[in-house]
Amino acid sequence: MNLRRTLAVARRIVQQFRRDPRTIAMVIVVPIVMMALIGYLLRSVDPERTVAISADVPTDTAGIAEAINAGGRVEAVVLPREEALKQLRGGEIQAVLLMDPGPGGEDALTLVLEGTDPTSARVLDQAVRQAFAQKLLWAVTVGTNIGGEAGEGPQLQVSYLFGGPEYENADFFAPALIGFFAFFFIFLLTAVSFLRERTGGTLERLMAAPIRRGELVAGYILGFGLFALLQAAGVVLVAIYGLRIHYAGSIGWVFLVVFALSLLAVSLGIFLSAFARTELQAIQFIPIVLVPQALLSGIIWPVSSLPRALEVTARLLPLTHAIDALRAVMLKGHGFGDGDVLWPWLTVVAFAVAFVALAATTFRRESA
Amino acid sequence: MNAAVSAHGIHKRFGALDVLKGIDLEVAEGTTYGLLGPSGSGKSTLIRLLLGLSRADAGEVTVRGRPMPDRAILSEVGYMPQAPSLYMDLTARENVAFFAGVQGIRDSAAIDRVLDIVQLRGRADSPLHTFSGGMVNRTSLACALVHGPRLLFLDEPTVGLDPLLRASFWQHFRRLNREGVTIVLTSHLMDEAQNADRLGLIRFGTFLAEGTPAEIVAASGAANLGDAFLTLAEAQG
Ligand SMILES: Nc1ncnc2c1ncn2[C@@H]1O[C@H](COP(=O)(O)OP(=O)(O)O)[C@@H](O)[C@H]1O
Ligand SMILES: [Mg+2]
Repeated sequence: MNLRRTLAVARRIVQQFRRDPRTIAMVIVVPIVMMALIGYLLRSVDPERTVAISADVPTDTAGIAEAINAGGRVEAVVLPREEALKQLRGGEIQAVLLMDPGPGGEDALTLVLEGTDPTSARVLDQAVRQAFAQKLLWAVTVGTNIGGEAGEGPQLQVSYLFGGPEYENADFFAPALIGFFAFFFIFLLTAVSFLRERTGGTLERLMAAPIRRGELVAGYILGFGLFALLQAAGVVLVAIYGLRIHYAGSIGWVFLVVFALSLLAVSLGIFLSAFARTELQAIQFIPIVLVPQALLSGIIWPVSSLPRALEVTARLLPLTHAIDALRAVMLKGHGFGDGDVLWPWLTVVAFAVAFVALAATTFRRESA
Repeated sequence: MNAAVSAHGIHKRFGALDVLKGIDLEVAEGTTYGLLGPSGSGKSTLIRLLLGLSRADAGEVTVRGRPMPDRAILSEVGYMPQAPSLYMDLTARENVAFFAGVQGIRDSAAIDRVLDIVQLRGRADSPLHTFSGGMVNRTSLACALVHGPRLLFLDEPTVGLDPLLRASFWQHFRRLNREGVTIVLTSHLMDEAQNADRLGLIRFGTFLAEGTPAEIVAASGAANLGDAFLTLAEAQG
């Protein structure tokens, strides 16, 4: 291994980047903007959802409204029946609790939902059920009737193994996005850049020089790895100081995982560039290579919740393991002394090494 | 003494296409050997075989006494491919420095020296996409020369050059020969081929004739090299 030859390749990649501000923007700025945007969207407050309790409901309407309001996610008001139904049709409120004839013909307590937005319907349904359950619980345990005060009754203590009540969706997504960006952009850039090396004749020229294939791949990893780390630094800074995500543990480990990911992205990019003849064909790797990993690697849906066949597939994708490691570092505060960081990390590195070997078979002087 | 390059019984096919059909050649140290022939005759294919970039279906190549392919010998070899094969977004100097770097060399004096040879010192810091075709070709030659190789393979080095620059290139090749550097180059221009010490006239993957320019002209009975080629090609059919 000749370090000078490897550094020559890495330096050239940096020089080419410097001449190409648009690509720098794509690698560094776009992920930062996307991280900020996604974080902001995940943070945005729930839409307002209102349930009206028809005044003719023969129970403590004010008490139920108070219990629902205490839940925090849904607003409850008491309205005359006709007015409530009018507002429901007009879209001003999303549900009405009223008395309607049930299957038996007698009047029964009925929740009428607006229903076009399934998420809204589910939230409203739950809020109302919870308020009733709570009132019932008070009635049993405290011995009062269903008209007891909201906020009374037994208190449930909650404790967290990791994180805490302050953890939000954004905190859960941030580690996964850091991993995905590093993989996505570095893979795509390497694939296109090595494709140019193949089609432009410079690869053949390199094969006429005494550089080893391993030295060339290592140079690529160094050059692009540098940009992967810069990108990760930008995204991490925005997440921590801009979005003020909650995280536990050492951010330093994040960069170690990102470096393993860029190792993987570069070697996969070099390997797959052998299967494209044009840059347009390289772009076709996005739906083939990147989208499945984006969907299956646990960024949005936890891998363990996937159907069996998909779960097995997800475990075969390197990005899944990288995201596992990143989440263990950032959410659990674990480090390389812990199995849930070390093993996924080693898995990513093993994938990367395998792809480095595969990548090196795709170009050769017909000699050693 | 070993020949700088020797090849025996070289055959190469691409699928059904028989591109080289038994080539033999010996290039003495410190001389210039010209492969002369029309486009598609197999010149570039032969150069790539001599360099070990592709493998012959039959026959052997040795370079400076070592059977090819051999990675170690490549540090003594310079290659200028037919297509420019450079990084168009980088400057001339950055390209030359890169190809020096992949030889394990960081020597700015050597870089300046080859930029002088190809007369690009004044434009060395402009990116190649602002260059004319001839300037790109000169940069390509500089990249092949920068590590001071003892053996040069130049595939159509003078294409796109004006007559003055072509003459100065040949002067430089001659100077390299005097320093003991061996040059194998290709051309499809009969007049410049006169300058080579030995020539292989190649057509359809075989040598029509092989020897010094004077020997070839004499053997064909023609007045000059161009006519010699035509006479020999007609005889080949
Ligand atoms: N990689 C290849 N695959 C298939 N055919 C090739 C390949 N390289 C060269 N050829 C064919 O070999 C013949 C000789 O090509 P080449 O050596 O480039 O000729 P020259 O350099 O003399 O113009 C041409 O017919 C060309 O199409
Ligand atoms: Mg050619």
